[in-house]
Amino acid sequence: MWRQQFGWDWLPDLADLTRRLVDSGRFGAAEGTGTFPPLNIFEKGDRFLLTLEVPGVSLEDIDLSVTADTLTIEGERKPPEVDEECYHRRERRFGHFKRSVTLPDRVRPDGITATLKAGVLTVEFPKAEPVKPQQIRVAIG
Amino acid sequence: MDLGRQGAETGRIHPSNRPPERADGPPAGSYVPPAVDIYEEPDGLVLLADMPGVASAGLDVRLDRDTLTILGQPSKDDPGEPRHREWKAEDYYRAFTLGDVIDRSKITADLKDGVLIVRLPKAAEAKPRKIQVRSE
Repeated sequence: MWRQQFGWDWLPDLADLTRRLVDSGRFGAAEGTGTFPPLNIFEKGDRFLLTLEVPGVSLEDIDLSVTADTLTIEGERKPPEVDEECYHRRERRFGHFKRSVTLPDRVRPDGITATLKAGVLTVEFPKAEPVKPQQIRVAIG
Repeated sequence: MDLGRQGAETGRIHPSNRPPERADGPPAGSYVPPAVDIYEEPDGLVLLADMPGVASAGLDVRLDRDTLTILGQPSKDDPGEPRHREWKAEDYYRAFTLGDVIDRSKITADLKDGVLIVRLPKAAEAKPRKIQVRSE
């Protein structure tokens, strides 16, 4: 219901993308499925914010790109240079990751900024100016 | 006798997700165990724990006798009204039992990009040593 309230047309795309990403999203050679990194979307005043958990990923290993109406976050988490047999326990996953989000038409792609702090990537983009309603005079006769 | 291998076995730390029953256990609340890697280097063990969103102010690493506990509390503030949520900021907690081979006084902890790195050097006696053979 709130989807209609905000007039978004990106939500159905995101749901569809989430389903498709389950098949195509990869993180770590052994893992074939899963949406990684997990993503949250927030709205605050005149902007949207995307937050993603990317612990242990350096700034230079993340790439953000925008094409038409799609924002893509792509990167790689590199493992430490340690031989397999030296591991006593191995739970953390590594490798290439990629997520795409369709931007709603109310977003200005040129105003996108991103910050990385404590392993959380925050992508901010301002909303586009709303189209001003025009008053049309109708002649009654 | 293979000193190196023996060192590896007794140096193994055993993760458990249950907070130990002690007066100084974590504060009441719900916790998730962070994903952890543990590997061995010639000089000791290295433990890495994923704790995204945790800054040094929210990190508590302590050693009590043979138990190493790591507690990470990230900021829970939302940067706006939530519209789509796949992850939630939760407190991380995990406890490990240390073997005798670790030199407790030399344990260090660093936090970088939301990853906790704990280095547990082996005590000098635990490292493989060449034994001089006295000849007749």
